[in-house]
Amino acid sequence: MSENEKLTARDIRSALKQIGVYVDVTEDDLMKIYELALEHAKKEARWKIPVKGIMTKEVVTIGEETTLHQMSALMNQHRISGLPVTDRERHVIGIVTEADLIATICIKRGYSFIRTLKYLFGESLQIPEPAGNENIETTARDVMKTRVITAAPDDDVSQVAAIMDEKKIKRLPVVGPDGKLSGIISRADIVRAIGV
Amino acid sequence: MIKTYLLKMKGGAKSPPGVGLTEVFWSLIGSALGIGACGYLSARYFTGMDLTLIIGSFGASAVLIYAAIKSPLAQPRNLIGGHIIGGLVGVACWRLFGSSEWLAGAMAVSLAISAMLMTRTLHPPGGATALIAVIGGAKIHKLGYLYALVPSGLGALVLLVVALVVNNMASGRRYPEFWI
Repeated sequence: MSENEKLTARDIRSALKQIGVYVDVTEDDLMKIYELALEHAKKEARWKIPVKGIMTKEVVTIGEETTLHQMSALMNQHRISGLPVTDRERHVIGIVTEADLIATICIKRGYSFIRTLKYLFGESLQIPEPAGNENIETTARDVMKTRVITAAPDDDVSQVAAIMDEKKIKRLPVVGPDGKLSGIISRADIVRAIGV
Repeated sequence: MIKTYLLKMKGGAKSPPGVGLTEVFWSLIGSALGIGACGYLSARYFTGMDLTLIIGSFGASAVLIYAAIKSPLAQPRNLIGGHIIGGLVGVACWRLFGSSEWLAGAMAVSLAISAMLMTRTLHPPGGATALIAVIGGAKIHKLGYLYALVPSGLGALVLLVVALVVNNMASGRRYPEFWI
């Protein structure tokens, strides 16, 4: 609201008249309430941080054909625990997390825990596949979650934090108005933003 | 310091604007029907059983729920809650301090106000309901804790039903603002 649009006592009086029924509050108190509310709104706005301000813009993404080993190598190399799966137009079609990889390798392939760890740390290529396993390589398409919760670049960080807490997830791909991936926001990004 | 204290008594805010004739009309209809209903039911059905359905504090409730319908003090939670709590506290104070009527009255009103504030049911006539439990005479005293329900609670309910019917007839009015 600009200066020449500032609320005056006359405006309040006219509004009270317009309501028509008896309202048991004085104009002075109404004005005070309005001013306090406005101050509160300004303070709140100051605390709002848009997701685009703190998200990681250089996102490591994978395609549906990326293999298990490639995925674990990428996570290892970039020290990340989640990979958005995108199509050629950078639309998010799924997400693969560390937990998905471990679950797949442990359960589906019947690897021992130690072997799983070794696999994740890039040693698996040397180890022969367990006997009788499928010939077709497992890819991102088989392990990704397709129902991805995303954030918008202008969302408030506190909203995103609440979603992460509620859904017990660690990261949200950020999707722009064009539907394309524009970044990723993780718990670490939020912690860093608070620390600044 | 005294000057600041005294200056507070000067006021300074403007009194709110008056209301139109339609508002006066609907307030008149509502309160006439509400108090009328309580009085009629009381005379027709309750007096014979040595009960009553009308007490003085309902006059004050009528001001709020038919003429200041937007006020938080006039909402159903406050109307019903205020009268029942006022009634309970009033009877309790009469029982505890009844040997000294002035003390029982002071305790009844002040404790009723505290109880209403704590339960978010502040309704000014509830204070009067508490006081009437003390100074209302033998007929009221005989009711014991029933006083909190009949006439206090039930009478307030009759006023509420009339308020719901009448206040929503006018196009520019809506009642209640909230229920609980």
